[in-house]
Amino acid sequence: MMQTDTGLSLSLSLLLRALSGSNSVVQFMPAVQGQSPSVGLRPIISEHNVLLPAALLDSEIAGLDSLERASVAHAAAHLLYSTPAREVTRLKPMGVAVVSALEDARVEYLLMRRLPGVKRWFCQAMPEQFDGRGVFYSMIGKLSYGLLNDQAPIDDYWVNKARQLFFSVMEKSGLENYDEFRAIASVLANDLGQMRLQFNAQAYVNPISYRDDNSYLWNFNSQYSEPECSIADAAAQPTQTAQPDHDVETQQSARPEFRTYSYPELDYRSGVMRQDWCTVLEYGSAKTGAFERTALAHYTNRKKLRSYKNNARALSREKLFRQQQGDLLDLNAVVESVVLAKQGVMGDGHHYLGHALRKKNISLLVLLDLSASVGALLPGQAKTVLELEKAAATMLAEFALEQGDRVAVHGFCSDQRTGVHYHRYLDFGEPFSSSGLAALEDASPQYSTRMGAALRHGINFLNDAQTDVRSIIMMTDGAPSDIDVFDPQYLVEDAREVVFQARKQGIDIYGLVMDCKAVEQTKKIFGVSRHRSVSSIQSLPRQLESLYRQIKN
Amino acid sequence: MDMLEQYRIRQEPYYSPTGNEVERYKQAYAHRLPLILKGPTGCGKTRFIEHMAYVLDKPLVTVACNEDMSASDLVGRFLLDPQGTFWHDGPLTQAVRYGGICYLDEIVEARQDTTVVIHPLTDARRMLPLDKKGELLNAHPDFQLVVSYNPGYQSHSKDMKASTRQRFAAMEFDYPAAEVEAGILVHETGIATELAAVLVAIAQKTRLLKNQGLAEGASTRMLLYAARLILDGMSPRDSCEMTIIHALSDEPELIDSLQSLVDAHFA
Repeated sequence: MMQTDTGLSLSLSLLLRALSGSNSVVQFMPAVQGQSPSVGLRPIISEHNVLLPAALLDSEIAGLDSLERASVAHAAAHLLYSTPAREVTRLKPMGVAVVSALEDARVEYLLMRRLPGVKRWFCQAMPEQFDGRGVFYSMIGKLSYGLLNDQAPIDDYWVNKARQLFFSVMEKSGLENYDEFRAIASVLANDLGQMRLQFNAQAYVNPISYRDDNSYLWNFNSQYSEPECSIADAAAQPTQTAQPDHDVETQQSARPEFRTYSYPELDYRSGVMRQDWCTVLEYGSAKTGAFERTALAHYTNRKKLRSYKNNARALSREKLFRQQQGDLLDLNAVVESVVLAKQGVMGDGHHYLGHALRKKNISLLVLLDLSASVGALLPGQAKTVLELEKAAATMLAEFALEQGDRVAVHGFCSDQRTGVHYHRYLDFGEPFSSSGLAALEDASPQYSTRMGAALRHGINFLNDAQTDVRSIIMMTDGAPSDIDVFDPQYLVEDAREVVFQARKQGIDIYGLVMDCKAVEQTKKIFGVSRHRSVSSIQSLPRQLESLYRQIKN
Repeated sequence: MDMLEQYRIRQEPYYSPTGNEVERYKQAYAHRLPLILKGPTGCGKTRFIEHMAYVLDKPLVTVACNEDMSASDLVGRFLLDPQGTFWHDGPLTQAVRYGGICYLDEIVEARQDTTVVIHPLTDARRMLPLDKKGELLNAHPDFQLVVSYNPGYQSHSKDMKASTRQRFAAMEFDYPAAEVEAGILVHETGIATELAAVLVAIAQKTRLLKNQGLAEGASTRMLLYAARLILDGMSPRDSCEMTIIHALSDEPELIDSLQSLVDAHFA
């Protein structure tokens, strides 16, 4: 059973980002059934992720422990200093293991030069004994130990030779020259070959548990097709969750009747607003079955958004003039009163300033992009953009309703300008348990993203709202597009116009963008300060919380 | 008698330019252009304007804007004394009347209806109508209006009205380059160069976490606090914990990451 800890994973992701500057996310991978957690699994580094074995999690220790920190620092060192996916060429598996061990040491030394404190983490996480898994395993273990602890006495000729070669190259040429370290690795691997050591590539794992499996360093495809040649433990590869295969036809057949609305669209090239250009088909929610939280909603809701009940920032402070009592004088009232007194007229004695705190109320429309592209997996994750959108919408809706705010959850996709499909899952005034949210769980991605028309329709639901704040959160994976539009700027400019006009009416539209690639286009639509990008489920609650705070203020 | 004597800056405030901002400001002042200084918190906007006021030998009237500030707080109001009422100039009016630089710090914190009082001052008219007093005050030739705000601070959605904003020229500030920032720490506190470089390295890494949970990374001002406590004998870790880690966030996950980050920098 996977013992995920979102908080820990978030802490480590932030640490990795700070140390390496990369956007990689740290996630925990489950232990393989039937396998002892301490054996076999090593961290895996990929372009978007650093996967740590769940066995690293130690719930007894508060905060981050040395093993976790060492794993993240080691991954950061590779991300900063290693060239990924080098060709294996004619290197034998044993050679790959030796080169990898030297590369691990080289990048750690580079990182320690910049961040001296990480040496303590590495030393604390480094084992001292490497018995029980063969001579080769033990020698690579001792080599790694000896290179990190350069003063520790080691009773092994080969390890001492390796140390001497490593440090002399380091002294002579510095640490940046990979080729020189690769050359000494070849010499050392050759020595091991001469010793006729047994080496089982399939069973071999990096003896140092905080270090990764080194699959990041190599491109095995060019040389080997069989997995047994990989130094990565095959059992440790994470399994990607298959995208659920929704039956679009079934969903469509359950749709209730729709109503049609016409909206204009801006042609930015000519500056003309094309009247009645887009047709929005609005569907009520398919109210079948009660809403039950999905596993995803459960997962994300483990960290609830923080309540604002006692937060003064969520209260609007109103100044009350000419009060009968108070702590502050209303100077204008006092002056008037004195002027009146000099004229012989008695004032009413209302000379004070008061303040009243009133809870701000919000009408919030959450508008989900349901186009085909949101069915794509988030980079490096086993979740689709749509799943992230649904989780975000569900969390926001529940939270807003708890706060006593008005919230609606709608979604849209478009099949050319004559078919902008607009689905109402949760309407203003409905409870969270509404069966409409069950329909949201079943929503599947299809068609395109005609954002402007959907926003114009969404604004209608807010026009009459009598609340302090009226806002729309558009959750999307990128810039608008449709198959009958060939100019990529066309729908961007139209959406931008809607956002601009809405703001003039006092309706703020925020963009929660689920895929970093589209950031520039969407920033253009929503504006820098009303734009948020989310790349992982871990950072979702924090982003929503902060966005909600921004809206409420 | 210099009515703005108390607003004159006696000692030159240390400011290390990061580009040609000093020359740009001088040119803007020569034309008395109203200016917006924008940039992240603690990056040196206020220090810059103090430095320029000293260089140009002009009084600097600073107003820290807040939500409760009314137009009267800027312009002035009638007060009472035993003889009756008398008019008291607000800080903006003083700068306009006697010729100084009026600096409205964090202008977006003030309500938008408050800040419209600056409109007649920031166009060709350069005048301030004191409607309660019945006076139309023409700005002194030395008067200049400068405002600051932090556009990246997303915790509140306050913006300047377009009609206010387009009356200003703008200068953008950011955290200084690493060597310059370390130099500032050394100059301001006397801390060793190596330690200053480590503090700057920590700050730069926290700035990578902006919008990942942090509204802003560690500012130069925070580093100055850290350096002062270290010089006073506090251990660098404790000092960073006090002035950077807990000052930046209350979130346990972020605090864990920041603590590790600080730990990584000290052997």
